[in-house]
Amino acid sequence: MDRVAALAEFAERGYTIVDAQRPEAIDLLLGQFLGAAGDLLGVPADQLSADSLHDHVEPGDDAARFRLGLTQRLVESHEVGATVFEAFEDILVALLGTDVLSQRVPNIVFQPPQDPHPTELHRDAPANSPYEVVVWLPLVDCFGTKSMYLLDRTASAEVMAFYRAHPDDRDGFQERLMDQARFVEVGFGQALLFWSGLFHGSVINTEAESRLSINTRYKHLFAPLGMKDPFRYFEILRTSPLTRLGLDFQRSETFGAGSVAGLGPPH
Amino acid sequence: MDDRFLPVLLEYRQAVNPEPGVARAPSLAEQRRAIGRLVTTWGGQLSDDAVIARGGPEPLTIDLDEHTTGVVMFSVQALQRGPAIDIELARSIWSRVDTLAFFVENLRAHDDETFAGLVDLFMVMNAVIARDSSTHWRDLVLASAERGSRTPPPHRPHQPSPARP
Repeated sequence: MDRVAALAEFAERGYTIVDAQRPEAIDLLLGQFLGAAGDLLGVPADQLSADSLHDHVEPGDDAARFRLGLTQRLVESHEVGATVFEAFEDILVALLGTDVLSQRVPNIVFQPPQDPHPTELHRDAPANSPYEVVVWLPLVDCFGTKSMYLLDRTASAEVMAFYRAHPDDRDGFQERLMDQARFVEVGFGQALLFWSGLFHGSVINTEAESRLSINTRYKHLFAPLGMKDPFRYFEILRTSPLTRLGLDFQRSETFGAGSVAGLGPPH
Repeated sequence: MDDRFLPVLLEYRQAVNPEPGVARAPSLAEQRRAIGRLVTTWGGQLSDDAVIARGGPEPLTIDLDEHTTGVVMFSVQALQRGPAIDIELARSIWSRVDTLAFFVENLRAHDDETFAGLVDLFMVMNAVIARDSSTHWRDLVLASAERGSRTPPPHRPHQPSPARP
């Protein structure tokens, strides 16, 4: 699917599945993940495959500890958010512009077969800003219950309308959500891009392979804030030349000439 | 000699908050202990003094003696003066110390470049907060939403600019 078609699909459904513009960036991420996994598990990285990590990690608490360890290592040593953005740069720039905030700590999800902790059905906004795009990037081929499900824009709006009309009917709400939920098939080298207002989740992975995936969020630098503390959850990923001029100007108006150099402590 | 850090604690207006799932806001003593543990990992120590920020409209006053090498605020909220972040206060602190850090947000300026990055983020957030709280802006957004994104804006007769170079 070309970029124009993907953008049209995103506008209509609230999500689209796209091929990486720079597949080598995803290869790099997979290599970093397997390297970190190898360190954590005491297994040479070249003997690991993301699909088969369950050979080394049990479902449940063991998998949760592994996921946390992986997150810590990767976030400390690699710029995961920047690499994901680079892999899908054209479409993300078309959605967001060139002034971008990136989630500071991308989420890493590991779901071995039969892991009892899938992601419950939810939507990000609110509390996140409705001006965010979520990038769900599997590092394996995802299909069936190994993947995730979501409700498109129309379905998400319909179930919310039901909830507003019947706020006490939790079962009816849940039933409608699950009726409308659709699993997506996303191959390695692709990503699911979805709007933060869509309901989504996952179920217990009953396939024979592990799922290893990243999910992270981007929004325009000047987009309205959600309820999440922007200083904790986001960092500036990139700014346009125009915005840099504006920020430099504002800084010099506030602090006087000299800009950054003039701000330093008197050593 | 060890680096010495002045803690700036935050008096939360409500006992609940600041994080979903957290039963209550941290007390001043807890904040001080947490900051103390953090600066220990940097090989430093806390000053005996502490500043307590209340986030009101008045500027926060921070007196720094010559022995203080850094300031650690419990949260960026401690820098708030009303709804906006007091960037001038941040600059004033930075001109006298080597480190300015924020515990909750895990942010730390330790050179001009990292401080400039923080200032950029503060300026952007102040702009966003000011814009989002503006009724003019809200009216404009609502009017645009009602028109629909694909409908061109209504025709307005051309009006000459008030001044041309």
